[in-house]
Amino acid sequence: MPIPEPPSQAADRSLIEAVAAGNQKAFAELYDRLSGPLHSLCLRMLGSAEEAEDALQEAFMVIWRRAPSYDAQYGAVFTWAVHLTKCKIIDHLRSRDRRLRIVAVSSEGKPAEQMAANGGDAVSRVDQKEQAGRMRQVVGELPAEQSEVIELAFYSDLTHHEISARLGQPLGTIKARIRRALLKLRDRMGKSS
Amino acid sequence: MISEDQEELAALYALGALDAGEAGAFERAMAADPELRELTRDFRDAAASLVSTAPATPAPAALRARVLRAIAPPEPANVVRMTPAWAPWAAAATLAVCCGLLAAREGHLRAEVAGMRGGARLNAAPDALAQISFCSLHPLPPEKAQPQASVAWDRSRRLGAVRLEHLEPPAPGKDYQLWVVEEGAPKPVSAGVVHVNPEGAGRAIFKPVGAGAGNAQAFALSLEDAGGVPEGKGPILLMGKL
Repeated sequence: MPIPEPPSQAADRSLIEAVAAGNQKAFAELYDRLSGPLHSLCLRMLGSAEEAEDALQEAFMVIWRRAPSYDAQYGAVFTWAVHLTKCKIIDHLRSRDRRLRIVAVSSEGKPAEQMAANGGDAVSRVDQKEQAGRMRQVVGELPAEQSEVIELAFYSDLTHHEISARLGQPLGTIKARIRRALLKLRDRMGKSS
Repeated sequence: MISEDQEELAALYALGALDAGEAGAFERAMAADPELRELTRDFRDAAASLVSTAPATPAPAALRARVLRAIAPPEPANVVRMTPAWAPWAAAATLAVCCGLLAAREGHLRAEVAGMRGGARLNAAPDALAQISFCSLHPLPPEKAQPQASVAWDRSRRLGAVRLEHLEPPAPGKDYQLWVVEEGAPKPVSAGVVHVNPEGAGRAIFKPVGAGAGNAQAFALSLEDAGGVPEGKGPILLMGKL
């Protein structure tokens, strides 16, 4: 069941098309829309403000260069940007031999709408805030063992074999939890959109 | 129909939790199965949404400036910057120019300032625009008719484009000729003849003859014998520097 495209995804797609044509203003707007959550991702995985900034800058350079090759078949623009950012984060982690290090940042943060503090219109900020709230609710509704395992898989750069060893759970259990968790996320995202 | 095993693999793949060999095998399977591709796409979107569940931490403002600066083309002195969105037609804004190189050649030329607008077209990719400079050429001295010329100059390829507007059609046996002035060069280098239509407008892509013109400092337009001349002898009508 495909997930309906929320307005923010359509806006991101318009922006990435403009960026692909070399539009720097569109790139600035896309930066304003995406940099907040991507910066949080960098901070969470790297645990260092300085490294997070480096990784984020590198990620946006890749976004700028590769915008013409973005393919909606891959996923939403945000998904693609997350993927590119994670690649840069993993480069940093591996270069520092901290592959298994997972640093959790405080859940005490600034409001989600500040992610677009440098730009973007009010509608998109409200849209982003609402979407973040919906996703928090959706993830919060997952059973603890499912949310634990998908967060570990997503943020740690561990394989499922390593996750299994780390949690001391059978591989089949880990795979089943991950599958069920993502199916629920997908379905609930679709409904909440 | 997608099996549970495939769903598991798609979920692990979307989270980046497969090892390299497993990921490769899954990608091959995905390439042959549109339904599996769609499921994986949905799983990727679902996994990426985890990022938005954490409180967003705005990146420092200085980082934004750094990122935007990094994608901007370098800005040479006295050059009108063009953004890629409208780069194909360059709009050269007001330039204050005063060029002594060619003034010395004529002896009595005075550099004047005039606001003008114009454009030039180059078939250049956005990245290549970093190498392109723009130059407006102004009448010496200013005239009521306000003839205008705009030059877009790609240093890396030694290739330029010129657009002329509001020029008088040249007298029989005469042509407008464009010149490139190089730093330290004894003479201007010919960039060729530019023909104008009865309305006094003309466009041309040019590549200067001779070595070293990549280091162009200024451009000038003169009225010469028809077909152009190897060394300028006629009056300089327009000039401007990068």
